[in-house]
Amino acid sequence: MTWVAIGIFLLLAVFGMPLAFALGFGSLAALYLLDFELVVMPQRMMHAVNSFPLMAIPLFMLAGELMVRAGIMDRLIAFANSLIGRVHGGLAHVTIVSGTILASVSGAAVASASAMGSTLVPSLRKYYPDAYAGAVIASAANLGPVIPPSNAMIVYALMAGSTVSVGGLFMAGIVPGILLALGFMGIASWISIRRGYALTGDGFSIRNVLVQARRAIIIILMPVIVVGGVVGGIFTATEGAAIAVVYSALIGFVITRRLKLADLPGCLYRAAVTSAMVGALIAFAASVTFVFTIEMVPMALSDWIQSMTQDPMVYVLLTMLLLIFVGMLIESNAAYIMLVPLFAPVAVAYGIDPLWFGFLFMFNLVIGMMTPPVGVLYFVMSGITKVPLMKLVRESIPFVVWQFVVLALCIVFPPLVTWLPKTLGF
Amino acid sequence: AERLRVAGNFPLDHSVSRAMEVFKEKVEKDSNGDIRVDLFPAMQLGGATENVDQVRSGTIFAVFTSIAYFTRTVPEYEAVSLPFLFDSREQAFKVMDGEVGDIFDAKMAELGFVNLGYGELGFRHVTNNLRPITSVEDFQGMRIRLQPNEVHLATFRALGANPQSMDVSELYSALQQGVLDAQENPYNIIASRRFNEVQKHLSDTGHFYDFINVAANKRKYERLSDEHRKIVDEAMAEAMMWQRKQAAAEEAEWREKLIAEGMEFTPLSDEARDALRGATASVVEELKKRVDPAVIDLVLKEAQAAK
Amino acid sequence: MSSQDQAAAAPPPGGAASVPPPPGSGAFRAFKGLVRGIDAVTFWGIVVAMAAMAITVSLQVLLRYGFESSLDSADELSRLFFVWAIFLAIPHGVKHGVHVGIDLFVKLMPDRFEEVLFRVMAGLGTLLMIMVMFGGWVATVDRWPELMPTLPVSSGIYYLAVLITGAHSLLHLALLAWGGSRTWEGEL
Ligand code: NA
Ligand code: NA
Repeated sequence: MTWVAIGIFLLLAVFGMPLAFALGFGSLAALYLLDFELVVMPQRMMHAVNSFPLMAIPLFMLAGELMVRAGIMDRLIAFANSLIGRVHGGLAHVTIVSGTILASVSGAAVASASAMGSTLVPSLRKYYPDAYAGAVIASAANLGPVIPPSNAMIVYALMAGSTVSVGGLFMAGIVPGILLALGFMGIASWISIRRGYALTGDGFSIRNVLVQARRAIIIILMPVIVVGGVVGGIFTATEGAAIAVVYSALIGFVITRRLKLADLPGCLYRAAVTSAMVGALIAFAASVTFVFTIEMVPMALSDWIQSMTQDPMVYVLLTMLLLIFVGMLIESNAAYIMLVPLFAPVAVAYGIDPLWFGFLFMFNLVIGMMTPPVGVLYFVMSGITKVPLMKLVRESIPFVVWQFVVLALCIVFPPLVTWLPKTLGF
Repeated sequence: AERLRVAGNFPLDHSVSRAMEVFKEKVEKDSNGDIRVDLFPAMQLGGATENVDQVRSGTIFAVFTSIAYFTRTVPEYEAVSLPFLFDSREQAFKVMDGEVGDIFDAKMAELGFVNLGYGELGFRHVTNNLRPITSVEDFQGMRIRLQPNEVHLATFRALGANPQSMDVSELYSALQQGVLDAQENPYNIIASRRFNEVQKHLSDTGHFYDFINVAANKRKYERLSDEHRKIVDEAMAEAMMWQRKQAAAEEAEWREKLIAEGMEFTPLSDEARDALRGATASVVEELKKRVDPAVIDLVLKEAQAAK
Repeated sequence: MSSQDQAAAAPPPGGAASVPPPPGSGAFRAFKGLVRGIDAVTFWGIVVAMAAMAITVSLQVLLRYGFESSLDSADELSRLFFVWAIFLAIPHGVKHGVHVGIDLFVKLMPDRFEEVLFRVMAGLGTLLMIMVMFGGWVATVDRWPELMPTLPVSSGIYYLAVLITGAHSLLHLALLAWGGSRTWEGEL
């Protein structure tokens, strides 16, 4: 029935049915043939959405809506431009640096993408084609689960039993995360020069920087408050998203005074409708996941891989290949829940460093958020930028390739992953 | 052939997940393969709340999880969750395996569930980052994460703590960053969720004793042939006995593991435990407003008798 | 409904004149009016659920530091508002075309065939939503006796949101199957 579900999903998707509904239809057909009652689907839908960390998505969307309404993004962009506007691809660099900072607050790529998407796209699209802007934001957002904190790592450690520590995994992400960010900036410069994108800022002058800084300080303080609040133990990451909402509203009402009470219903509504796209996907994907699990597909996969080899390195490589495939088709949270309990213990049995394996496993599925056809970050960015999916995918290729290069580097040079956590005693 | 799907939310290496393997093996052997058991531990089919929904609607055969997930439909279960009710697991099971358990079974049956057996989730203990716990005063102002359960909340309010509602997915980071000071769980859950990495002090408060129950869908259970039902009952009884023994044997190991990994363990003195018991005595009266007092009195009486 | 740019292209820029406008019949207009009415009501449902979610989560921070206390039901309540906001918004997403799809192959087809596909997919979507609605009803009834962990309210209301999303989405999709890709032309 697994093939029925996949087949129907692919068929309907190709003929233009929204992916969420195509997933729903595929699972429905399989559940019917498996003789399950239809109540399974709403059960899966509701429970998949009913998750506290997911709440960060509409909250950051809402913060973004409010910031745009309050008319404060221009100030931030003006400031960033006064600093590095005269660099090729200046605004793209601003995005990547923001993404890196945001990643140290946010645990999830989707939340980062919604926050940056709704705040940076209006400025980016003044200088770059929409598809490129979307690709840069998606890539910068994908630093979210690699640089700590990371919801993905917490889920991984939870599902892996007692062999991996969350703290260790967190530290494992720092070096690869920095490598990713530096590479993204290099790619952005290269593309900007090659395509002759306009320099986005005025010439550098201290005076201008100070003037813009004074106007923008209230906005620059926002990540400082959110990061500071989370790192300083005042609130959790999801609560930080709500604090960002309150802060944006305060700026809009009190500082810029461009936000009106009458704007609020529209902001709340748009944030919800944009989030509903992710929500519908997660809900219907959960129904398909049920079919896979009940058919014991993950277990069969794990057995099959073990029957193939006795060599630990071959096991790692086979797992990596399989995960690339899984990452293309399955929403990552679902993949952790299905696969980690099967693959992590096998890795331990092969004598593979659980921390290294865990990071590779997680990183691979993180990249999967940017591999078609099911690439959650593309869905989010397509929703925000109105750019068709395939255009976004095409513009993202160099950034995705770099992510796979870093993954390969981490496989070939394990210390890139393990050195920092081992040094810190994990 | 019958196919029984059984789901749970505990990690693979938890004693109850392994006990289900015992169940599976025995059922499949005794039935000569007429019954096949598919196990879905470690939240493979969703969290415990969802598993309970799945059993209720007959999507799967049974769920093994904390009785906490049934207290909002069978509030009588709260009577065995009262603070400092049991001093030992032997006492706890003597109560549960007697008349009290029959009352619960009847209530569960009204809702379409069959209780196949009880196992041990364990005594819950407090960990925190403020200080070693040696007296009631040490709980003063402690920001502690609790399960969303009124008896639990009332207990820690009575101790002067500041209970906080927080999703378990955010708990690790919240403890690490200092948003919260404390949490409470059985030793093995503390270890498997790795709260030891972000908590300094460990104690053996044992303020609540938690049971695991295996609840099956009544329609599906009754649809089994008499012979098959007998096979299932016997296998589950054996699996649950195995689990209780295993859990008891492992509890000290889990604690030693936490200590070996750097937690500072401070045992609670008998006098301090009596003081805690005294400070939380009001919780019983509060519960009697919500749950049939006759059931509560019976539980208290049986617990006394089982000492 | 199919994908972002299909929705954006709904008012066809000259070339796609082969796509017929939505029917002008009284029955169609009445149906559309009904859907519009439900949209107006659920719009405020979404606004309230979103606002309540944001307020609950931030209030929790304020209570912790300002008043050394906590709302016992904050976790459940905020998730409940979240679930309602998302499921109430899914049908609105159908209307606004936010549910992304792959339009690579569809775009290669002649306009007329593309329009037929659009209606067939909307029709199949309607079937899916009938199942969601029916299942949502069963799940709500099954869950009704259970209370929320710290509130004296039935936890069946989590599933009620799924029931509503099914019913409301099926109306939207049926409307699109009937009226075609230009149903909401000029109104979004
Ligand atoms: Na992060
Ligand atoms: Na993917």
